[in-house]
Amino acid sequence: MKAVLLTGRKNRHGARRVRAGAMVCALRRLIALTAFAAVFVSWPAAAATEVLVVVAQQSPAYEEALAALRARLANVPDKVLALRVMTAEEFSDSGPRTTDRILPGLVVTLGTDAAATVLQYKLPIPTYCTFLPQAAYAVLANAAGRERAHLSALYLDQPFIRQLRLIRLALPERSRVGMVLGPDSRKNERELRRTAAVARIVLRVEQVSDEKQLVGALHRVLDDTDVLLAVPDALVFNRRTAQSVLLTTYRLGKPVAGYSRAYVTAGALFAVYSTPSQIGRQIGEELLAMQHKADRSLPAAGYPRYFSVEVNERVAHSLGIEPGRADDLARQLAGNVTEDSP
Amino acid sequence: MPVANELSRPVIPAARRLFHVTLAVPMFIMALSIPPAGAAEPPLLSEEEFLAELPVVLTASRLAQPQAEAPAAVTVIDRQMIDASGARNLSEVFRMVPGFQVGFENGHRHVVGYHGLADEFSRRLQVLIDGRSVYLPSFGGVSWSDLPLALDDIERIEVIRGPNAVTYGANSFLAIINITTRHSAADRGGFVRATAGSNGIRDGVLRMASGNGDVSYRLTTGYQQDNGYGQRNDSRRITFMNGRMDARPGERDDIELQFGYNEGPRGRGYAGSLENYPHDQEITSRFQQIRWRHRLDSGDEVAAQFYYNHHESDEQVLSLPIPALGGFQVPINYDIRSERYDAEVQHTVGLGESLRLVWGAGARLDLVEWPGFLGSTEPLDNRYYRLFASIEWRATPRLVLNAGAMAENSAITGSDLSPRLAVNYQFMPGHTLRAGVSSATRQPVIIEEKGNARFCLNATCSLFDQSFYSSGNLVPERILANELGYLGRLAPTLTLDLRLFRDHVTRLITGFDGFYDDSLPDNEATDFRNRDKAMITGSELQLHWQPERNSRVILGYANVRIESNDLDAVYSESAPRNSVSLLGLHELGDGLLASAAFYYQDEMRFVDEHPIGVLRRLDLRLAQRFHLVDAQGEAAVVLQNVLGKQVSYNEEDSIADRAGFLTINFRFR
Repeated sequence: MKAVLLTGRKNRHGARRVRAGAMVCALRRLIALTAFAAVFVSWPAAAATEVLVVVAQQSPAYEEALAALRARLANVPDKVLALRVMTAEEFSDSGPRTTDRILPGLVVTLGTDAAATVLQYKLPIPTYCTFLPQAAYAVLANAAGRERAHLSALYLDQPFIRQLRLIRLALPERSRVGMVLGPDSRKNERELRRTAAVARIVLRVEQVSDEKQLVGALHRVLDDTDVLLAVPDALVFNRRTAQSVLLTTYRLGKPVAGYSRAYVTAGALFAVYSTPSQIGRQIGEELLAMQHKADRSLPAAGYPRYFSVEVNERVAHSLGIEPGRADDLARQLAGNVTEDSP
Repeated sequence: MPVANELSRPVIPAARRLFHVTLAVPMFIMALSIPPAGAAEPPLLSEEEFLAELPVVLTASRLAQPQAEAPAAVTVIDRQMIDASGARNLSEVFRMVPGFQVGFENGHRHVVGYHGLADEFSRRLQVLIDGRSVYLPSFGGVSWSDLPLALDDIERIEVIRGPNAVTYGANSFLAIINITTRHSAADRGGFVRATAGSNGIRDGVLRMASGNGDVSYRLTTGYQQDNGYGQRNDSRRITFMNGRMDARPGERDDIELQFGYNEGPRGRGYAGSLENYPHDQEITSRFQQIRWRHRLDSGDEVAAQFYYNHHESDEQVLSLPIPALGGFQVPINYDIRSERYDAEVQHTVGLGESLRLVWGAGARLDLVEWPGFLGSTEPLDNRYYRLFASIEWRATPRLVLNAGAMAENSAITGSDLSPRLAVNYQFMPGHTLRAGVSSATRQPVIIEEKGNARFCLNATCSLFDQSFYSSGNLVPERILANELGYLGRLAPTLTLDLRLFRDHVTRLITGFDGFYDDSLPDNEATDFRNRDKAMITGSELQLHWQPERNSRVILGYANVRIESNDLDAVYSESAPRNSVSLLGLHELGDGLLASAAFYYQDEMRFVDEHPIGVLRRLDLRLAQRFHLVDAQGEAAVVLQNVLGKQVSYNEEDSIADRAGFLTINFRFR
């Protein structure tokens, strides 16, 4: 096993900067294509497949995911996978040209920026985009065009049915769920409505096209619903708007089902979410599963298998709600076997 | 305390006008200057949204107490209950609250009382609309018809049964009605309602709401008219308008601006009376209010509010020729103008996870100009200050202690202290016991302290009659309320609220006919003294069953016994021994909603009035929701008093008959 962890300069906006330099980009893409096309035939012949893991930059979350990934691979007796980690910036600057000796058989990206950076090159190498929101992947995969065959993803967000089931479990008397969808999340509206119908949940949706419409939409959607399900959206539900959302809903006496542990700490009633190590563990499992497949094809794009539940006891108490303990909810939720559909 | 020293004109009219303009103008400039939404290239959603730490928004000091930990019994009336009750007037919804009595003295003077002690001006309740007290400083109580408010603007009503001066301020005596209007962002678009029915009922409401991002606003205008009891001159025509703007100028601040205006004639007087013959009084009632809330880094919160209330009744009449005075026509001036300026600041501090402190201060200036009844053409004023602090201490997860006190100082009555203590113990999950003791004061209103109603024959005032002459030197009424409560969730859809109470009310200010002057045709004038006391004991129950979202049954019951040293049992018979309210609502399917409200009360009589016999009242409502193009609509038919004639306030001329009306509304984007 070869695991090289390169330390790079921090560059949060690496991917976007690359996108801005169109000329440089085109040049790099040309070089990369030439380099990678030459070795593509070697996949999947190599004995120990090198997996290039690209992260946007170094951060505790990626470290945690990587640690879990390595731990999962370390338990395997025949070490058929060799990990090599680099930042998106390093990948752009040097990755395609300086990859020495063995070229990667598979690229695994962690996070949206890393996926955006790697997918720009349209490399004919299987790329497994992980640790990113489904909405971001949908855009990137669409832009990747004909290379989609070599592309798959492990999302960071939770399947909608899982979120609805949590609401069902924690708030059995509240069957009317309100959602405010923005440009990212509204693409799934039909799917959401179908899933809600399956879960026998009455779904009320307000659509907004920018942050300014959010508070009004919250008031309207909560007028005849019992709980707000927040789904992240680059323009609507995000870190900037969390305060507005939580204050508005709390004043209306309605709980929020959030999408992250931090949202719960801030004041959401509960959330189902996947930790970086849960994602890392699943990446490891998916890679191993690939190795055992004859064609070594990528797994289908999907949602995390492992998840956690967090409950804000103080908020529950103040709203006079008894959602149950987080551990119990997580266990009951995991007991639901029929939740593979999004 | 000498009354004359209190007379002054503390605020010059020009300054007042300036204040009104300064509050109203920026409100609408802000409302109109909403920038257009910008279009931007959407960035890709980052995993950071899932991982980033967020500041704690709902900090310990911002979290409200759950009802099970509140230091008092609370009845919540929500929008669905308001609609289902078939109420056309705000005052009517309080019939649903255990221990409340609602009577219409006439078509526009509605009396809402709790545990009795109410005459036509029910002075022992605090009524707040968005934190603004609408208690009138002139004759006390609330003039329900004069509030610039549409029922459709109300989000919810909390009725706190029992005194709570610490949280709700002066005069939070027998109970507190706390009305919250809808946020202006809640109703974007238009709303229109038209109502027509028997007895001249013709109502209309038009509301527009808009906004974007951090600023939203709402404007409601409406009209309401009916013929009152029909056989009397007590019709009313109400024109009102109100506006609300909510702004969030920054991450930490919320600002709310409101104004309202209500005007129109109200019928008064009786056929056959020489001086109070049928005529109209012209009401003008308005307010402005600003509320500001600021979140501190620590998670604590500072809130401030300021409001101005103005209530005016124009009513000057010339009596018919009075034979006993040789056909002389006496000019009578019933004009009243009352104003209230009130400012308050409040600081909520989280002292660790289990302790929270709320403290603050307020100041108030009341001005009453009532030449016919106060013996002065100048406004009389009262200045009033208050300081309050309360703590909530969660000693253990099951034991919560609420303690607090309000200190107040009034220019008329001096200083008083109203403490409060309550312990809530959750003995089983979902089952809480509460024991509390709370005290409060009721400040005398101006007519009680300074009443001096003279009716003159000429400009130099040769006295013809003196109807009020207050000896003054009143002290505030005081209540000491003890209670035991239970709040339990008997099943997921069934809650029970029980309360045993023992309220000791002392220094009750009672109006009585005192000797004035033998040379007058009527030698007595009404005086007010801290003369009586009352012990109010009993129990209340509220059962709430909600098997479905649109199916609810709400049962209220109260048993009230009043013992008093009163004369003629004016207080001891002022509440029914037993009273029941029952509201049922059910969605029959396809947007068809049926509801029924039944009320029963034992015999009682309002203070100084004739008895009301046993009351049984049934109101029915059937509503159909529908869609019409882009609008959501609802048409409803309401039948009130289905069981027939009922004495509402007194058996002479306040008898409510069957009534019905049809109301239809549309909501559109």
